[in-house]
Amino acid sequence: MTKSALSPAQLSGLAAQMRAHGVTELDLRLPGGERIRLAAAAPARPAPAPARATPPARPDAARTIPAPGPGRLMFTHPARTQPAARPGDRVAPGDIVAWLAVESLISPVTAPAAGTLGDAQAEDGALLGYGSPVFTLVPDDAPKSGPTGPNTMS
Amino acid sequence: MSVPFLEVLATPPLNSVQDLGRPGQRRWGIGPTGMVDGLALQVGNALLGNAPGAAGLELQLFPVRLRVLRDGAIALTGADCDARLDGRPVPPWWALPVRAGQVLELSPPGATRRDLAAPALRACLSVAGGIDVPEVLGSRATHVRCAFGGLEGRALRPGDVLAAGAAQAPAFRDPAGFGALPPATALPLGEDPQATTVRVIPASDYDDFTEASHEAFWSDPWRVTIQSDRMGMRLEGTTPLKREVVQEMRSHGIVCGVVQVPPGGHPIIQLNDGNTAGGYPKMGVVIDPDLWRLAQLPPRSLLRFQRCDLAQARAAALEQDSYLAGLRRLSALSLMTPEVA
Repeated sequence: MTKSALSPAQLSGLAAQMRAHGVTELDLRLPGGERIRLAAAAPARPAPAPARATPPARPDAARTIPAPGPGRLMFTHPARTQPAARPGDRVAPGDIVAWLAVESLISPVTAPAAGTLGDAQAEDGALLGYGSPVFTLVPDDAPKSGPTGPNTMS
Repeated sequence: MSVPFLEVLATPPLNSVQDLGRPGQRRWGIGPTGMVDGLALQVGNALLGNAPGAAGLELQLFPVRLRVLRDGAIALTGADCDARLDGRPVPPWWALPVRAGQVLELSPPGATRRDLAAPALRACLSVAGGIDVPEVLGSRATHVRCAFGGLEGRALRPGDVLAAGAAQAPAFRDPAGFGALPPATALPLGEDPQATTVRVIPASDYDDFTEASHEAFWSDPWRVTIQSDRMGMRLEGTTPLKREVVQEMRSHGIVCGVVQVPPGGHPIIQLNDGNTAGGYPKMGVVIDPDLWRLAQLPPRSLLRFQRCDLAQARAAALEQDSYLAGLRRLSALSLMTPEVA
């Protein structure tokens, strides 16, 4: 095997996931037998105070549906002409609300919880990275703070 | 070791176990059979990490309902049948894990949703490990007319139980599964959005046809008639194709994709269950890499022929190979195939 089994887009996605989770070194064995090692460069900017180990903004995470990896965003499956979901749609956990394409492979963007879809947070066809917001989501168990509608919740 | 994997709860006739067919048996008068949309089968197998020719189910009449008997994985490719797994939508061109007890339901293409982007006729269901039926003459394809191959040499019936050859189903990184860019998107062809285009190499009797016939063949749209099935497609055009001098011909071997012209002048394209020999003059041959485009054409849809040569046909085959190789490579990353270190 002369060519890497991972595309540049996939490598950058892995790098993004490493950054997001604070992983400094990754040793991958691929099904073809190929082995890939990724090591994070020394942090270029001063590391934030490590004492506060709180995960970044959990409440916010509950209100967006993030891209599960890198890829080109598709609200409409290429075999169809109507989008998978629209703002205002009720969704159940695991419902597919959009797709991400990397070369010829399509990954699902799924709702993490039951709720009502808010506005799209990216353009159709946009190149997204890991964790980029795709939709806002008003979960069913969210506290009803004032008038309804995702735009009023900041 | 194969184990019971799917039970057929409901199926109309004409759905069967197919693989990539039974080549090399024409000298015995045995046609290739196999999945008409062979590319859909290869995509499904690529998504699941199966061997390229692992057998699947060709579904051309609906509704179809199947019960999963064991945890495993399936892929649905070909026609968009608005599939539901225990009521939850499954996107077209998709692979996903399934659990024992779940019920998969497929509807006629276009019946339950009106937003299909491409013509759709035949769906392909692949299973991890492939459908396990005995090989006959090197293939698991059902030869319905000769009553061998597939499941007891016949089409599927309610109550049938199908085994899968998978020792261990692949694990999915995302339980929602993943899919393939459909071939119609990845391998686009033709300028006419109202018609499907296929590439054709002129055949040995091409020069016997009149100039007007040549002109009509390449520039007219041809309508697929209701007299179309796994044997062949009958087309209808405004200009019947005629030869300069009509003379009786001897029968000769014919292949999948050959465009024959019976005396009426309306072409027939032979498909997977077609005859192994025939005596109608041959206008051309649809190139192998475009046969899947024919497989998805329902009656009344429009077809256009685009002239091509051997080099262009080779290029088309390589383009398709590279699409499949890409899928295979990327799918392996979306599956967590348990590996012994």
